[in-house]
Amino acid sequence: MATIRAEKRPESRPESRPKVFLSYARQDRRIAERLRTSLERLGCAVADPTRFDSDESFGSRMEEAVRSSDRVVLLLGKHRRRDPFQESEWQAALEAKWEDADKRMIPVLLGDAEVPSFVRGTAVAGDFGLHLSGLKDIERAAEVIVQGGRPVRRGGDVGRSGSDTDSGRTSKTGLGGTGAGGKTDKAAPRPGENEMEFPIEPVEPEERRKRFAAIERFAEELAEEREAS
Amino acid sequence: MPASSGNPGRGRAVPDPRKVFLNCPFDEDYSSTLDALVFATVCCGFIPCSALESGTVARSRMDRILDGLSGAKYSLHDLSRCRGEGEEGLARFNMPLELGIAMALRHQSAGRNHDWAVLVPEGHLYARFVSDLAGYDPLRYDGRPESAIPKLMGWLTTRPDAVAPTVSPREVREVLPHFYRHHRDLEEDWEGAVPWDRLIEGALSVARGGGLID
Repeated sequence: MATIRAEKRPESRPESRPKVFLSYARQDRRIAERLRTSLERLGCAVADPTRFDSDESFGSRMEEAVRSSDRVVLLLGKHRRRDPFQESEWQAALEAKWEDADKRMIPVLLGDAEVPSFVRGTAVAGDFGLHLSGLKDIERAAEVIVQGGRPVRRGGDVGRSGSDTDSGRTSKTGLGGTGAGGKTDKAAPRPGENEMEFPIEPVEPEERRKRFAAIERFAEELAEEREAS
Repeated sequence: MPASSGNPGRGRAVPDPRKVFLNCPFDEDYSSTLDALVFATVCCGFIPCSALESGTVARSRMDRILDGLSGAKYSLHDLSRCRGEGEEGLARFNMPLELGIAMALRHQSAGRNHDWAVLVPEGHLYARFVSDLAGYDPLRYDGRPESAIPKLMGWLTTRPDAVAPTVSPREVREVLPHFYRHHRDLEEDWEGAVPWDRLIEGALSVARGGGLID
């Protein structure tokens, strides 16, 4: 399998690297620590709320860390019970996203985990998620997170993807770029290359319509009960 | 969707994952905030429930609260009135009482787990008189109805039973004044005793008119 060489960049100023807020359930601590280490090795400042002091100001510090981050990485495993701390982080991430539409939420799925509905509902074109098959994917995932999208080949080097235009053709199992000719065109990645990335699918309107219809029915039934009493 | 009924702990309906019981003050001063919570709940695709929904039906208020809480998978509890009021400096403790019921429901058998959240104004000293809540993160707002909206929406939208959101708190706030107006019209029509079902219908209608929901 061919490997992708990371683009050799000149020594970057620390502020050119994204600030990342890393949200994870306590059950996924081991993977989260590896991901944090990989991100820090790439020069990112990583806010990990489990390292904050747990005093009265924890909530506001966590919210501030989310707001000031460039990317919110949501590490998502499939667990029987949700981690309430992680849920608070999701709320903060969602509020921050509502305030700043450019803030990126990147779901990183472990195993059979799925993209939460609040991520799907606020995703815009170009937003992507990552699926980790195991620890071996972590360093690669960190590179993609830092680069903000799948690396693409331009000649022998790898640069940022034009994910805004390509997201509609990406898939969980592989990327389907056009691969048109030309030195500056984005070549389709080779099989096995960055299979972890997938576009975040838009919301199905039918699901929402059913829910609002249910609210309407509830009000009607309540009215009938009231009129009958 | 059947109305929940029955004695506490026996034969109650399974909690509806689409319902949110709003345990909030019902006084005039709080009415704008309650309207904001009802409206935002509907915009998020959830059904707002309340002890008010059974209106003047001759059942004890506690029975109505127990039915409402146990019939909803979610509940929101505003503790802002838990402060000394009036000449005697008494605080209202109905809200903490109902919060306690919600917390107990959460520990019932699997599949009936109740999920709750507490809403408090910034700087509220709730942790001093309900110190058992010290480990929980409340939803904090600045006391204005508009600031409660993102907190409620952030909580509801991250619940496992949420439908994916397509509106933001800013969009909900922009349409909220229309719901206030609609509620005032209903109060004139119903001479102040607006049925809960009409309030929900009004929220749906205003949200649709404002392009917030399908």
